Amino acid sequence: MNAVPQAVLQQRQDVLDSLGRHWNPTAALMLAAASRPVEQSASGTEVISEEGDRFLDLAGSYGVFLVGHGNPQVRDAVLDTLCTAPTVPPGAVHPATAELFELLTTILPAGLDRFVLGCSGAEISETALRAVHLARPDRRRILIAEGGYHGKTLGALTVLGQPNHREPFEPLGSELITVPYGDAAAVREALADRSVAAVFLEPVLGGAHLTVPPEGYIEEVAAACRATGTLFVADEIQTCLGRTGKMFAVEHDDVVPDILLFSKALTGGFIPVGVCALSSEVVAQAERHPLWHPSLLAGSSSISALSVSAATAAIREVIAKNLPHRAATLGPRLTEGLAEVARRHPKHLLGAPGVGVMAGLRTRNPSVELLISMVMARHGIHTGHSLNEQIDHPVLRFYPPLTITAEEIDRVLAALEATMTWLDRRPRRLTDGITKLIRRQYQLPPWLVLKLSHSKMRVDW
Amino acid sequence: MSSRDPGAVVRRHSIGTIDPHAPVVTGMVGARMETADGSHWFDASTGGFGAGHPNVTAAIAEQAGRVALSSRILLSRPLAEAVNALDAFCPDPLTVSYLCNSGGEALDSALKLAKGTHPDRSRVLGIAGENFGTLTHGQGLSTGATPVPVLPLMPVTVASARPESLLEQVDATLAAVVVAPAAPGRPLDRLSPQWWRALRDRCTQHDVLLILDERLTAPARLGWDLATQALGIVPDALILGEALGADAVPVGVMVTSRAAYDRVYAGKNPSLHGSTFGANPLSAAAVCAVLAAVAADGLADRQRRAEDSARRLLGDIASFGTVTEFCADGGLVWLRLATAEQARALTAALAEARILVRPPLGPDGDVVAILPPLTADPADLEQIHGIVRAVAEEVLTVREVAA
Repeated sequence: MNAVPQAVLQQRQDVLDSLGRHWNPTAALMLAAASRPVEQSASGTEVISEEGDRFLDLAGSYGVFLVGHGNPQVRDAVLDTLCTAPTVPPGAVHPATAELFELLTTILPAGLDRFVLGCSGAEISETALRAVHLARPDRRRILIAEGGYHGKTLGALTVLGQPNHREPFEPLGSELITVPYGDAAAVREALADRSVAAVFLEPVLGGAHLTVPPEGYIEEVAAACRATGTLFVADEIQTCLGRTGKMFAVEHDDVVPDILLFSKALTGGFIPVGVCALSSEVVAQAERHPLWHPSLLAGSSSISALSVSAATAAIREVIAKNLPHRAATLGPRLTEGLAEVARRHPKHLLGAPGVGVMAGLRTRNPSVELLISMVMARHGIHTGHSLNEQIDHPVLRFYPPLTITAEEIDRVLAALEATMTWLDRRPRRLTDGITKLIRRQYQLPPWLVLKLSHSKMRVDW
Repeated sequence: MSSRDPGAVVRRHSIGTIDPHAPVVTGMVGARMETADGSHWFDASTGGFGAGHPNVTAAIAEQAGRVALSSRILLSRPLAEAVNALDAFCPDPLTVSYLCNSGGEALDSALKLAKGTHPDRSRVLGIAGENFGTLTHGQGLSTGATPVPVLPLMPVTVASARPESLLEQVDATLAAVVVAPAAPGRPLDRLSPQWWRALRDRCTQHDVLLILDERLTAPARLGWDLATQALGIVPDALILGEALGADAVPVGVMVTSRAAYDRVYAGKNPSLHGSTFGANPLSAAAVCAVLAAVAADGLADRQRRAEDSARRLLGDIASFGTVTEFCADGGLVWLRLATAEQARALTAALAEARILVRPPLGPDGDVVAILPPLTADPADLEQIHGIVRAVAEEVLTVREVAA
């Protein structure tokens, strides 16, 4: 790799200094350690730096860029709305909202016909939380899966299955039941006494825990919910709009949840938006709660006409290009390729969970995840690092935009093979030692983090 | 485009009541709105920045052409520029900005900071009936209750009629106090500078996070860039909302001090708090453009002139028997009616006159707020205030006579 000119380094340093002083000091330190360039633009599957270097984006913001970066149809829709009526004033109706709602009824499972819009997955998770407590006022408990993720706002923390993100804020007061993901019997047992208001579950467990459940698991959970009057909230914030090979992942099990949450890909890569889709029956039950007021299930005040225009255009792209089919047919090239790499390199890899184009490598320990992501970045390929060094076997994620070609997948797999060959020459005790170090990385002096990372950046914030 | 009536479609699939006569918006510039039936309205509802500002629109479009949302695998120059601009905009020591997707999320982030500061404290204090956003904790503060059995911070409120009593409630059992400088139904001078200083002192004394909610009052709305300038205090966390995204790009910001931030997040994994979309380049570009426009266009001064216009045209409106209170704090203008029914009647009559306002506000639903965008043309503001006066005179006087 060519040496970076001093002037370019100084420009990066200026950006880092601002981020370190005025945004997130620790995140800026990590960016400094990674010696990343400055983003200039993004298109399709590529992200391009200010110096013109091009990177394949397999991180994809964990599902946001399903229709690719800078999708022209979504961009045109957003700009058109920006220049006409970008706002949805309180008390008014925007035609873009009506257009989105009509489109949603054509893609969602039948029966989910009431919509609340939010600007993040966390916002719509909180909407669902209020809805289930309104609809089941006599039940205080919520069931979640270990490793489950539904956002990190203060309300959403109460249903978060990742202890490391909860513990600094505990006690949170919620009455949670946490069961192992994929264990339908555990769900049945927990719901038996009818004290649980709702099950919050991802049809494919995401994040550092990426897990495709056993066949029939989601159907068994839904059946247990039906049998006990428990509401089933399917969190499809990551899996929606075709990433798993179906428009929604619950369709693999032919399940219709009571509430379905979806976001990420819905943004078209442009404007934050999410949908909490509820059945009219759940809404009717909620309306009988003594505290009922429509504002309890109100959409985000931040939803703009740009949000709904982006969502509509993104869905149209998904339909026009039949992206669920593309994920189902192209996905195996990635998932089977990753599985083959995992088979060839068992020293550092434990497996390759995946479905559609939602794939990953389960690593032996967090340092393996870090080292693979760093070496792949040197190959010009960015992967979805979990930023979770506390769990034993984090999954390094590969969530490519569906603009990716078969040839690009082959390039990724070739780079991965080279990376693993390089890593296989390192002993396990080295990665064990690095794991101990990175579990303390946020307490280390910044200069030491930079030195260990061979970074030329400075940290003086 | 939907072939059906957009209003009917939205009503069918939404939750809650949407007025069957709600205008269907097809065009917006400043305070002017065009609707699907070809009529022309004034927007006195959004209370935001305003659509169609040339520089802001160009900046958003330019950024959308390069990177909107981001994988965040590379450094973000727009984000660096936005946090620099926010640092310059906010008083010291408020130097660290958390950008997220809505004003409600920004407020929630401050509550999360408070909970992380004092995990053993489980209460948050606010003024009942005011707006605290659409997330669960914010709604709990607005209504004083929540359907969620237990929240990390349970809401405690004081009556809106006695906002000054907030001070008496501040003690070491609270994690945070959330209060706006002013609100529809509560004039800026309802709480004196001495009261604000006492609140600041009491929060410091008991180590309670003082969260100043400026989602409606900033930038510029009250005639200052930030209303905190009028209060003479600096909060521990300051909340800015949708106006920073020009009501087009969803964004909210919590600005706090490095010391307050470090108490929870220093030496921790940066993913402890964050959002997939938060701090995205498009929202960062919008924040920069809006803050630049606030300064370049003198929008705080424009709000002072809006106050002058409102006082001149509406100042004696409280002499109409059914209007019990009138307030103009910069561009935050509102009327309190004697009853909620009269407030609804005025709102409906304003709609007939093609002035869009929010549904009546406040715990009693008796406040009608007149909230045009910050970038509204001064001549349009004069028209809006004039129409409000004429409508109020006609509707409220006729009703009084009828009564």
